[in-house]
Formats: sequence, structure tokens, C-alpha cells
Amino acid sequence: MTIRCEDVRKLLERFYDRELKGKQLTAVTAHVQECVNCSKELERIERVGRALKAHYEQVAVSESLSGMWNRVSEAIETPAAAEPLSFREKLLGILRLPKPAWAAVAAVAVAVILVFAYLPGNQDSTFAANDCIIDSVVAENCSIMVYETGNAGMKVIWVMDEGTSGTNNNGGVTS
Amino acid sequence: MKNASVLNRAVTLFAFLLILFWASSQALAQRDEATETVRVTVYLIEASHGTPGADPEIEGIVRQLKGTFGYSSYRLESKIRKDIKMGDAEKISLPRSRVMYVYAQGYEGNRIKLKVKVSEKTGRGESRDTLNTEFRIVEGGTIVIGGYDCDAGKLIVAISADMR
Repeated sequence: MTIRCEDVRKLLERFYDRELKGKQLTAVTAHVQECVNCSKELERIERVGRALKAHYEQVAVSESLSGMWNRVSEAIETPAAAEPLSFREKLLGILRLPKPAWAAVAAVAVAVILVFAYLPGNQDSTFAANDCIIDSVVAENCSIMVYETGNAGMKVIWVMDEGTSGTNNNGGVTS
Repeated sequence: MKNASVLNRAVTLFAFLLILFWASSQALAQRDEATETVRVTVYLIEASHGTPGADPEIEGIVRQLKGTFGYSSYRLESKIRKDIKMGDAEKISLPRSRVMYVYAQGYEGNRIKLKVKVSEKTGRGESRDTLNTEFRIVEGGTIVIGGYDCDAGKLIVAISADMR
């Protein structure tokens, strides 16, 4: 197979890169061995290739790879660091919790609310079932007694009705 | 890293829920009195030394009274329910020409402020106040005013109050 110089020149880079096969490889190899100009062109390509290879090897050696993963990882974790999130995006981010996290948050919130709601100390001295503060009691033409009775401390205002004076009109108080 | 992010969001959400709860409880605590109505439930009970027993509806009240009073019978004469706007009063008739006025005076510190006045007719057709009392009671709480004569024993008036 004969081949012209201009065709060989087009194939020299691929020849150098060992990408040629079959008849093309045989023809270019034979042509370069015989043609001085194409041989020189191949040498030029080889020099450039070696120079590039040496350069990149030097760069690769001088470049430390030890911190590369950290930088890549950081970039993955904070992709939008340069662009602040909108309020809506932040809110959606907060609400986009896994189901177990939602359940845990809800459970803790309910527990805290129950503690706050029913802890005796947090109930505004609250509230025995019948807790009552009597601000004033005024009785005319009769006497009164004020009791606190029962477990719930229910207040009782007892009027000594004059209509039954002389009888057991204190309700038969036992204590 | 991801777990920390989830934890941060969970903590934020938890804080948000707590703030929501606190704000709602504050709002409830500061209800506008002017728009509130007090529901007053009045139980007229006749206490006597008759057949032992108590009406089921007043068992809770009677249980409290039994520790102090020696009556054996507690009979529910009537149960009266009144919705009273703040600043207004309602009239409740008691046995033997007595009248009780219940005034809704306010709502403060989770307590309902009430004034109760009991009047009775004199022999000359006039009425006189026999009792004037003001008190603050928790929602759902009960106060008892008693001692007035009635048919077979003493009248006990149990007053419960709730916000509407």
C-alpha cells in the first residue's frame, strides 16, 4: 500500500498515540522509515509529546492530593454556600425531616407540654379543683362562718340564719 | 455530617413548637374580658338529717361537704344554669322568698371573679341584703353558700363557674 506524504502527516499524531491499526499502521510505519520529511515531522511530534508528558508529571508530583477529598467533600456538603437560602427554602429544609426524627420531636414536645401543663409548681398556684379566693364577705343581721372542706379545699360560706336562732343552725358541723 | 444536620433541624423544629405552645398559652391567659361570658351553674341542695343519701349529680360536692357537716341527706332541689356576660348579673330565686344575684365581674389570673348577693324580703314588703361576698374562683371550681332555712333542713347553694 502506497501512501502520500500529506496523507501520512494527517495520521502522524494518531500514529504517535498508537491509535492506528491494520493497513494504515503498516503503511505509515513503512512510509516514515523511508521518507525523511515525514520522519522529521514524527520526531517533532515525539518531542512535543515528551515535553508535555514531563510537564504534567512534574505538576502531578508537586500537587498534594492529600487534601483533595476534604475539599471535594466540603464542596458537596455546602453546594449553595455562595448563594444564601431563601426563608422558604430554609423552612422547607427544617420540615424535611425523616419520619423517625419527626416522631421524636413530637414525642419530646408533647412530653414537655404535659410537664408544663400539669406540674403543680407551674400552675399559678393552680389549681386545686375548687381553689377559690374569697375577697370579702359581708353579712347583715346574721353571723357567718367560712370553712374550707374536703380534699379539694372547697370554700363554704355558712350563714347562721337568725330565723332559726337557738337551734343547731351551724349545720351540725362536726369538726 | 448528615446526622448533625438532621439534629439541627429537629432542635429548630422543637424550639418552634415550644414557642408556639408558649404563645398560645399566653394568648389564652389574656383573653379579652369584654367578650367573655361566664357560665354559672347553681345547685340548690337541701341538707337534712333525713334518709341518708345524695343525688348522683351532686355526689362530688357532697363528698367534700361530708367531712365537715353532719347531715345525712343531700337532696338536689334544682339545678340552674346561667350565662352571664362580664359586668352583668343574673337573678336566681331561692326558697322562702330569698333571691340570689350573681355578678360576673371579671377574669384575671385564670380565675373568674364573681360577686354574690343574697336578699330576703322583710315583713314590710321590702328586701334587705343578708349576704354580700366577692370571690375569685378557678374555672370549673365550686364554692358553697349555705345555712339558710328551708323546708326540712338547710339550704346549700353550690356555685360552679366556667368561661364560655
